[in-house]
Order: sequence, then C-alpha cells, then structure tokens
Amino acid sequence: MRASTELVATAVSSPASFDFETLFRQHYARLTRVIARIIFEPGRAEELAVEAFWKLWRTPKVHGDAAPGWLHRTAVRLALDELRRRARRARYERVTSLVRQPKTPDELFSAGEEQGRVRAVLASMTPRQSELLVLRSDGLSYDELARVLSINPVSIGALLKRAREAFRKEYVKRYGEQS
Amino acid sequence: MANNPDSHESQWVDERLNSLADANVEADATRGWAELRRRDRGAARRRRWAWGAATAGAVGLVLFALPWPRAAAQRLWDRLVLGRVAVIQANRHDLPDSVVEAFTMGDRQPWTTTVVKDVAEAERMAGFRPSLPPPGVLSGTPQLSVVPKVVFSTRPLKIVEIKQALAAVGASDITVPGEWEGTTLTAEGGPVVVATYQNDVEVMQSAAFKMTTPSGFPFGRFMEIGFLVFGRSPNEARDLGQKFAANPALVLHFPEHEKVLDVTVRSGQAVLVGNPDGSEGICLFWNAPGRLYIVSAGKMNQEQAVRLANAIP
Repeated sequence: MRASTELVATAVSSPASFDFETLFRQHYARLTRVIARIIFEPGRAEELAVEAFWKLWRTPKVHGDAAPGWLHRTAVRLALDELRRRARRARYERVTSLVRQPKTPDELFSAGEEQGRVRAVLASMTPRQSELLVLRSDGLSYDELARVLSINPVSIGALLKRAREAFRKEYVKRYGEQS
Repeated sequence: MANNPDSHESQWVDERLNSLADANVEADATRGWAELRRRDRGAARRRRWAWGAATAGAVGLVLFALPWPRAAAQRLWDRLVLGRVAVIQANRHDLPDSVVEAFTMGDRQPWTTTVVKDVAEAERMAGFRPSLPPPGVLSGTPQLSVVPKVVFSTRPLKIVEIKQALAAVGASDITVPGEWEGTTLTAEGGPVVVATYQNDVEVMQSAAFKMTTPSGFPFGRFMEIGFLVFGRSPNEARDLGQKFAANPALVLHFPEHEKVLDVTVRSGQAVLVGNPDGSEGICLFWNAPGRLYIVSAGKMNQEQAVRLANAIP
C-alpha cells in the first residue's frame, strides 16, 4: 500500500482524478467554523476538519459530486462525537467527586452559558437527531439534509420535528423552561 | 401561524441553537493542507495519541483514585455502589479549593503516554500482559499505548480551613485532630494499558495501585470528616467513614440525570455509566483479581458492552 501522502500528492497532480486539494481549499475554512460552533475550541476544530478530509480521502466511493455533502456530515459527526466524548470524560470526572480535576478552558468559558447548555443537550441526544439539528441550524435546506444524511426527503420534516421535541424535552429537563 | 405549537417549538429550539454563534476561527487552509499531508509521516498520529492520552489521563485518575487492595475485587464494587447514592458534588463548588484539595488527589507530574507496537511491548512496559478481546469481537486491530505509574497526592491539610468548612455545614462540634495539620495522602497507580479500537471504543486496564498514609493514620475518620465537609449528614458521614476504614475508597457521585446500572459480567459485578441503549456513549467498570478494567465506547449498548467484557479473558 502506498503512503497516504503519496496518494494525496498523486491525486493532486493528476488532472483526471478527483481534485482533492481544490476541494480542501474550498471547504476547509467552512468546515472548521462548523465544527468550532459545536465544540468551541478552534485549535481542535482545525484538527477535526483535517480529520474529516482524511476520512474523505480514505473513502474513494464518495469522491465526486457527493463529496461536499459527505464532508459536511462527517465534520458535524466528528464534532458531535467530540462533544459526546467530552461529556463522557466529564462523567468520569464526576464519578470520582473527590478527585480533583482542573477545568478546561472550554469548561471555564462555557460554564453557566447558554452555549454550554446547548452543547450538553446535543451531546446527550441521539447522533442522528443532533446531526439533523446542527446541519439545519447551519443552513441546510430539507433537500440538502436529505441528500447529506441519506434520508427520504419526505421524512425530513417529521424527523426534524421529533429532533426538536427531543432537544426541548432534554433541555427543559436539565435547565427548565425559562433558562 | 403564530399560534402553531410546532412553529413555536421550532423557534424556541432554533433560538438556542443559534446561540452557538460562529467562533472566532482563523482557519488556515495552507496549514490544514500541510497538516493533512503530514499525517502519514506520523505527526498527526502522535497528536491523535496525545489526545488519546488526555482521555486516558482522565480515566486514569479514576483508576488511581480508587484505593484498591489486592484481592479486593468484590469490595471495589461495594465502593462503587456506595458512591452511586452520594450527592457530594452539589456542595463541592461552594468549598475553597484548598479544602477540596485536602480531600482529593491530584497528579503530581504530567501524564506521559507511550505508543507501543504490540502486546509484548505493552507487557514489557506495563509489567503485566494486557488481556484483550479475541480478534473479531471488535473491529480492527487495536492501537496500544501505556501510561506509566503516576503519583497522586492531596494538598497538605490545614486544620483551620477544615474547621471553617465544617462550621459552614453546621458541624462545628466535630474535632479535627491537631496532628493532621499538614497531612498529605499519596497514591501511586498504574501502569495503564489503553487499547484503542475503531468506532470510538477503548479498553483500558490498570495494575493494582497503592495508597500511602501516615503510619496509623485513621483513614476512616479522615474520610468521615471529608464527607461532612462535602455536605453529608453526620450519620451518613460516620457510616461511610467506617466503611472506608474497612475498605478505603472514594465516594462516587452521579448527577440525578446520569444513568448508572449494576450489571453482571463473567468475572462478577460491573457498573455501567451511561444510557444502556448506547445512545450517548457508555463506560463500563469491572474488575478481576489484580486488574481494573474500563470500557469506554461512543456507540455501544449495555448488551454489547457486557458481551465485550465477557470476551476479555
């Protein structure tokens, strides 16, 4: 197997192949911003954006027109995974309440803030529902959502409705209606 | 329609999601591209491991924070069950750091994680052979890393501060022994072997760990006062302190919305933290003689987690 950097270089230099670098330069900044909205930490957002492109490179079947949508979904998914991982880690920390744990800058920033609440709720929801809400919030139309998430377009409205209900229910359960 | 409840709910949710305003991100595509190209040269892999190390470190604190005498398998879970009903953290935020840290353990040195190439190397570094699920149980081959021994300690206890904290919770009649002034408890834990699989699954296992206290130190009494400081009632604190004296441990705390479940695995009892349906990631703790295991998974339900635990020799 060739080294991946060779593969990237080969792809970039081959006009007949998937133009990976152009795609990267077109979408990298937007993906980073989307991820940063979810996890807040800009440095980590850049890493996850690179991770999304890395996954794209290793998934040849989506090279082509479907790549931007696939990237968008993957980026959101990576960010939500990160959010859930942090939530799990926070849980480990709470498990041992007598163990001292320094707060991360993110925690310090978001403590008590609306963003922190929204992130906590998103982290607790099913991945599909969180993805739907975040992608919709990021401006995707119903058709785009259907394409990106491989969902029947006629189902999008109902699924979004259920996702919103789940979000609100969890939010109110945790923080109350008026928060 | 203005009165449409769906519309109202949609607006309500959207308003909250919109609070995730764009972070001030200066995404540098050139740097990102260079980063992507470096991946195969190992830099990104090391970074990923550094991130993994941070995760392992957080979990490691759990491992090392549980005083775990050899051959005390059942007792470990007694501790966990005790902790599940604790409500200590609710009051912890009101306490000065110096008081919290007199009863809690922090790591004295930075965590270091070493990526190893195989089980044999992990065994050489950790001093025990990690038990991993047989091929086919989890996808792919695990990436292994080892966290060496880590020393944790409490901050030196200041009696005047502890008395103030006790007074604040209405326990000013409690006597804090004068000889405790400056007391520090130390624990040494690890090594930990971390096996990272695809799909956000990690299997962690730690060797036994040792806790040191001053000779003849009444650990149970110390913990009783700790529980009082953290807001438990005198009776509860006394009961817990006695149990701690017989079986040193840390109290566990789970917020009300957290799901915690006692489950049975092949080697005995285990504790599952998280939604059993696997929708938000779970963490399964169990132990075997001389070893504490933790499975951390992003998308794994209770049945799958138990099956995984049972597959580990």
